[in-house]
Amino acid sequence: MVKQIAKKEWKEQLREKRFLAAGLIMVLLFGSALLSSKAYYEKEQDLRLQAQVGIDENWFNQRDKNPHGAAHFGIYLLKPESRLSLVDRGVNRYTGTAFFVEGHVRNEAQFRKIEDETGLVRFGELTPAYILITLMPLFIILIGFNVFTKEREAGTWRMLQSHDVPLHKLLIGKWAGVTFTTFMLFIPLFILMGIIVSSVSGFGDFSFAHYLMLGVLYSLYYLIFINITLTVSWFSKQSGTAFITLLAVWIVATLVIPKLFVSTAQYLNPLPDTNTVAEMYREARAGGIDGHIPSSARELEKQVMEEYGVDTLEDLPFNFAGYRLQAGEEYDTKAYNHVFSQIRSTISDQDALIRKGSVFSPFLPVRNLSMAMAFTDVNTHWDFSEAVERYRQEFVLYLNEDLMYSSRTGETYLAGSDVWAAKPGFSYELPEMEDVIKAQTSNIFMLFGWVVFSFLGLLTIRQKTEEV
Amino acid sequence: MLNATNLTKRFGDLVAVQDLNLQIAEGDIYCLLGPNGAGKTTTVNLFMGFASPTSGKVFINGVDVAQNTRSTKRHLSYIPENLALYPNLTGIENLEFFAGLGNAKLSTSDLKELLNEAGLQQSSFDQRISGYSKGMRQKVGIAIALAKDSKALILDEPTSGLDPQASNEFARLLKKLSEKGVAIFMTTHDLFRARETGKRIGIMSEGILKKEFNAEDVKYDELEQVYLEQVHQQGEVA
Repeated sequence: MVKQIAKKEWKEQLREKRFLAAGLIMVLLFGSALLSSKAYYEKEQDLRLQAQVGIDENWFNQRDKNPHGAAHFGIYLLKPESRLSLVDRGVNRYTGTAFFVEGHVRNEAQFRKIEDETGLVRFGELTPAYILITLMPLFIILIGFNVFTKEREAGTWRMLQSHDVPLHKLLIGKWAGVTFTTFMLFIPLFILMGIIVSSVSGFGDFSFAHYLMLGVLYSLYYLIFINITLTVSWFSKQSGTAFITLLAVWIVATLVIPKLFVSTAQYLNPLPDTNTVAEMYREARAGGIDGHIPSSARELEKQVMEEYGVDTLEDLPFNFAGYRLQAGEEYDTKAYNHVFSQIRSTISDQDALIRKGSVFSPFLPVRNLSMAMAFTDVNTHWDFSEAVERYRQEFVLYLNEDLMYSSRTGETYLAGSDVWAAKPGFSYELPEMEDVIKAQTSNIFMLFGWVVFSFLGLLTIRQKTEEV
Repeated sequence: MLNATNLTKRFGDLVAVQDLNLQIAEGDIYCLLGPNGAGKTTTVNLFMGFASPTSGKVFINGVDVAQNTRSTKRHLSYIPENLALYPNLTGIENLEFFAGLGNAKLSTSDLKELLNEAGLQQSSFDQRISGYSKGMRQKVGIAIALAKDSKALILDEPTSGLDPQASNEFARLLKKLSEKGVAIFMTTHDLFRARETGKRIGIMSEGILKKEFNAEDVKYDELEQVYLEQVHQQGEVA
């Protein structure tokens, strides 16, 4: 009986012009989003490859110079991207993907795409993730809002009542019909996207496990909207009421709640502007050793000479200038760590508040999970930013130590291509699945909470004896 | 097969059906006549379990409808005034769906045979219901009843709006079902059709069953006179 009802529901939907029109629009939007993402990333990959060649050439071909001067010359590190970032661009456009690594300064990522684009982009880009997370629920609403109300309005409800049809079987049948139609659209699109994304050449890794997980998360998200749609349709007296109610649910869930919580989080926990960060750094740095100013390191000179039992810096077995620069560097690092920990604490407070919004909308947890699986979330950004900082310290230490051990105090020393060639290498692995899941526990919990809640909503459906 | 015992239904102060006692046996065709608001549809709803009686009982095949609403429907088919079917499905798909709800496992040729038996033209089987006339939809309704192998059929003004030819054809189908032993309970405004189709006729007014007689015992003119008397009498009382 359930199969009969599901089959009937599905057939009816397929023959509805509304479904065909909505389905066609979804396919066209999805296709253009996917192709534009592919074109965007292929272009970006091209630029990245060119940039990497330029960065390497600049570094290896720089003139002979003081190694610490080379630390100031610096290098760029590019954040590796997964091919899944074609699906969900996440925060990359806002955070940037190129980090400038130099002595004394911890830089945040540069070349933020969003700065080169019009303000309209901030209202939402047409990406596959946007279609799948924001527009797909609207499609579910369109096919399911009148699943019960149409029966009452057309009088077929009476026909169903005149048969021995248990309500739970009717409900399961209708649920299966709407679910089947939804996944009949989603699964081919998802498979097609997988084929296209995995076939993009020369661009990052493709993790099948992450992609599969992305599909599972989107599916759970759709089940939530299917359940809400059926519940609203049952409790509404008219199709119009059901549609308006569900449209309001969609607007609140996908637009109002996310914007409201993000704005509130920014208002309650504002991030400092660039000038304030510079001031915070100056305060944290105050009184410390400046590697470039010998007078700021008199105490250090005494300590080192005592430690090595020498009377002059020139008697030390290394160049004290390099030692002083490294000591200053470590002081800089401490100051930056202090400032960045404050900024990260503010961001954590913002995140904590935004996560609370997940109680009111399943959009937020699935949005965060989608970005996490595509490695375009804030956590991955911070993870990479930390890896860059660790490398920066290693890079600067290498150059300062070269100055220390390749010369003696007072000597003029110029490092050459052999030093540039032997600089430490940088490698970064995108987080493993278990690390992503661990970092996203609260979002996964919230998403499952919504799934359970929406199924509980369906359980509130009870047979009503209609008085005539 | 269909029994009502001291059946009463009230909506607030309004008494829609009052102390109705009715027995319809297998193979019987009972036509309930009455003006609008007489309580005919409420009686149908009580038999179908769409509404609960205020007092009294309704039995289908000896089973109390109020106690076992779902199980009584296994023996029952229902055709309302405007038979609602799924407009985007074809005639045969609608029949397949409703027959499936009744747990009937029928092949496509069985379904076609049933539609044929119900008098639907073969060329219409695969057309969507949205293009069907009312008469064609009623025939699908009969086919559903046939597929369900119902012991009883309840019809609420099924011939209103049908042209004389379609109405006549429909009556012929009901007689055919009756010959198979199906108990038929039909409400109607159509005195002529009640006289021609029914085996027994009841006249209801303001929720009360005023008069009952065998159709063969009364001529059409007499039926009209009795009907008007009963309805007029009620009008005078009111």
